[in-house]
Amino acid sequence: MKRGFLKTVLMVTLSTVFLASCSGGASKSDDSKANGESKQSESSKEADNGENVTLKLYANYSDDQEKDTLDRAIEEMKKEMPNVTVEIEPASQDDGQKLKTYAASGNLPDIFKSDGVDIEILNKSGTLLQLDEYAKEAGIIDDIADAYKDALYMSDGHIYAVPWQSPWVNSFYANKKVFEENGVKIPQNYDEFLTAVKTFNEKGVLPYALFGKEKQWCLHLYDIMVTRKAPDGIKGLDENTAKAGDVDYLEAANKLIELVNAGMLSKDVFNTTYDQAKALFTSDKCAMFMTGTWALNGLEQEMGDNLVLMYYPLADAGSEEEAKWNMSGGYSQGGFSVPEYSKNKEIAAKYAVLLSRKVNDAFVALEGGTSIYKDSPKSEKKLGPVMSQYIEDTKNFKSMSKFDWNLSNQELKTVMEDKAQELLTGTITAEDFAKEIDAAIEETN
Amino acid sequence: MKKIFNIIKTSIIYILLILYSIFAAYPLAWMAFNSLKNNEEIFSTNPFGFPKVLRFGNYVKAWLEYDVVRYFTNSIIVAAFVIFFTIFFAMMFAYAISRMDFRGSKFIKNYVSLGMFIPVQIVLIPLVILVRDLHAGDTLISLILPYVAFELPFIITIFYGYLRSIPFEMEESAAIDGASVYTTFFKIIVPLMKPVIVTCGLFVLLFSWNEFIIALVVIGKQSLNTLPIGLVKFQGQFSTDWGAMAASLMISSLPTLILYVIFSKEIEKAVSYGAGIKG
Amino acid sequence: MKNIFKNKIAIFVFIFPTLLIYTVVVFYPIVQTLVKSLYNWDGINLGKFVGLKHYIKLFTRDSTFRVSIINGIIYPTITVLYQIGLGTVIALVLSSKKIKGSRIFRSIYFIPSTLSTVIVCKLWLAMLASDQSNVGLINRIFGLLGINYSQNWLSSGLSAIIVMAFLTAWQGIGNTILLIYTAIKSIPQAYYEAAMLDGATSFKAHIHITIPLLSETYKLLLILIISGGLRAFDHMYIMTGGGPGNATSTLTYMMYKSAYMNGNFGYACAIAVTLVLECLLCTLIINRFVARERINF
Repeated sequence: MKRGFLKTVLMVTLSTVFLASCSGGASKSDDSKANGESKQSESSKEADNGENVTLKLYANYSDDQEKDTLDRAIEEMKKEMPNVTVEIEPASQDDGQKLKTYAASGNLPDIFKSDGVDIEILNKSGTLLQLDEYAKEAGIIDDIADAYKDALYMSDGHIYAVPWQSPWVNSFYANKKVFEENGVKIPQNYDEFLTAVKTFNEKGVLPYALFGKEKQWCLHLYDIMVTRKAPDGIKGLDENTAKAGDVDYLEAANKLIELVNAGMLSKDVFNTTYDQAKALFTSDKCAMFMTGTWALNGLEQEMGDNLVLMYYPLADAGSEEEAKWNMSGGYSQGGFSVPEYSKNKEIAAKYAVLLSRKVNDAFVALEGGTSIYKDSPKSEKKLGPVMSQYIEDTKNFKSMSKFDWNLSNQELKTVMEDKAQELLTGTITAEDFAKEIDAAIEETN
Repeated sequence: MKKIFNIIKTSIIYILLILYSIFAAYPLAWMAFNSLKNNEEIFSTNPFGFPKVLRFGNYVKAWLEYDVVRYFTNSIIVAAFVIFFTIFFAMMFAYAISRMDFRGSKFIKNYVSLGMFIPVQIVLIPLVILVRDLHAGDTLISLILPYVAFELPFIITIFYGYLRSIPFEMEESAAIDGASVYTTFFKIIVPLMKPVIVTCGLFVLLFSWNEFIIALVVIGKQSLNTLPIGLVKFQGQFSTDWGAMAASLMISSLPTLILYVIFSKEIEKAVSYGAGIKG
Repeated sequence: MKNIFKNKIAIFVFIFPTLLIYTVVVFYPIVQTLVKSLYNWDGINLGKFVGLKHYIKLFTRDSTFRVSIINGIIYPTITVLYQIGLGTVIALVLSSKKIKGSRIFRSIYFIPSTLSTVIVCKLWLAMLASDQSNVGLINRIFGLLGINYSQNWLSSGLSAIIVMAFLTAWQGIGNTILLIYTAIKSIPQAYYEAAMLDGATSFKAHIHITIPLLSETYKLLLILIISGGLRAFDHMYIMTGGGPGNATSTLTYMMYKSAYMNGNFGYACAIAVTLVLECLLCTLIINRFVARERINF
């Protein structure tokens, strides 16, 4: 028995070596790329003839907001490119696993939504089609609002996706009713925030709902804390211009530990999903909440004047105004990309570029918010006072950090997410936290 | 005295068995309750009990928005093929390595057994490339093939153990009567394997019905998705309608459950039959 | 007469389909994995050959690796104890002629096995909840019993691993009971009759007759449960995301993360290879110590 087993192991090893030398470095994606290129000339002919083309589109298309927006954008696209039909594949919530698998097997859909991180990885491997020319042709480069021009270009100075979302920020929200019922003042600075946390705890009300199951939101909380003093926040760590061991960063980590130990978060925080956290907040079971401002309109519709938008009441007393417009969040890098080997890459590129714009317009029309283009359409819905105020406020934004998913250093990002979550357990010290992150910065740069 | 003691003992055993039954079965009830609630009731106001208002709308929503019939058909087609091929190939293979006499049989068995330790995730990328190279990407074969391949080692191991416990005399007497190896296999061995075939068929069914990762990455065409993948449709980027989700989970869980109840009767019969042969 | 067992054509017909499918779909990709663990591979273009670099990093510098290995010991230990220990007891009880409704009980115990892992995890997350505003069933029961033990079972690495191992076993025990029960039922009654004549209690009869006769079943179960435990992934993916931090990471989870989140497929392949070796080592040990008869697995 034993010998048979050893023989197997031996055989496995030998055949490995054998096959390794046979297969050499031949990569599967090479030939798929070649295939794509050989077909490219045919497809451009097709486009000129105005023949009907069906494109595969991988996009967010699951909840009502996403569906309404995309449906409307595609409706609009029919007017622009009537000979193109799209077959939508709803993007799955799997950390880009499906996309990366598609990429690895040379099966990327003709048009796919890509976040900043995916773009970096895919671009490094030469999979993405440069959209510079198409964007120019479609007038995107001229029409995009100056403030957002940076979001168009990736780190190598080219366009691989045209963004379809205006920049958002992570924001704090308060439930006015819960504050009033418990006689707590809505906090303006760190000390008041700490007091509020303690008071709510004594009264048995959850102070703050964080959906910590998604590790990136733990990191966003850290980012918000850091940006009170160091406006770059996690962007600084990502770009290797700051260290987690820097004074401001260390102080932020220490303050978070203090808040956690004061009972800011639920015991279940790391199992709490967005739905659960939101339900706690909107059903008056919890005083404060954090999420991106893309959800602001929806929250306001649900809660009316119970909703208070807070610009991060975490700065030291006295420096509130100074830190108020250091925003956590930023441009949504990424948008719709086209793989280099798409059979219909010309049409797909044209379509992707225009679609980005149509989605932007549709979102603004349906959900409010700001447009990233100069001639923004009017919102069809009457916006609530909080949302209107927010749109006004965007003009005051002084600096932006980055959303977790737009960081470019993948490996550092996962380490930071892990460590941020660990930090919020209150079981590691700020120094250990900083040490691990700085080690990862060291390792990956 | 002894009788009373026995009654008490039996009662305690029953109570423990029933307690464990509750422990095992409550989940399904919970899911059934959830399928009739809205998000708020599920997460905040009434997470455990019977729903306050019966929201059958969840089922309607699940049925209409979620392409149940199509996913269902796909899952059934995949399961049927996977069960058939896995059982058939595994039977033949296990028979050859457990009872037939040839050089390298042990080696081949160990070679295939290795597959039991291979986490599916490891071979995902090579697998996707393989499926593409075989031009199977837009058919259900791209699921059937890996499912069969990954279930084979496990089923073979069970068959192997079972076949070794059957006395050789069974075939020897048949061989004396002049039967060929194929006749012996199909007429004598296969009927003897009935209990273990039913059990393994059930395992394969459960695997293929609930498998997620391969189905997620290998199938590109939406019309070919299986039930678990269809369930993902209910998860938006950040929000989810859990009532409808639970309803769709109920819809997709019931078939395996019902099939199990049917199968389990079969197993009962088969088990006694199998035991009778050997005794 | 012996000839029918040596029929070369028949042997070929019997083993060929399995060998072909297995080699193409399972074995060849494994080899690819082995080879690519020696490269910097981003999943798309095969990069530079880096030799054992990934392995060296894994064994010397990666702190998550250590956590994963330890979890890989705790997790299967619990699933084995629960599934095989409790599974044997229940299967023995149910196989007794005195217990009525055995089939109903077995059907009920099997229910969790028919559910998908996603459902099981979601369900238990809710049952384990410990929030002030949303106390889960488990903590509520502790409250009713007057034990002040309300806690979040998933907020510390160790208890989270234990809970998830427990869930895996809870779901898998139906299978285990079924296999053991089938095996018990196939033991000829005559064996027991002889023992009973000698005056043995049923407990003793089980210890001396049933359990030894089940050794082949046990071996199979051990291999399945342990290798299943070593490559645990679903629960971590759904319930904890490997967290808090990386406290509930396993080798498979690590692999998933470095491949699909970090885009570092070469490193992921190295982890995969380590995992396969670990599983093989366990099988070797089980084969060595559990086999009473000469069974080949």
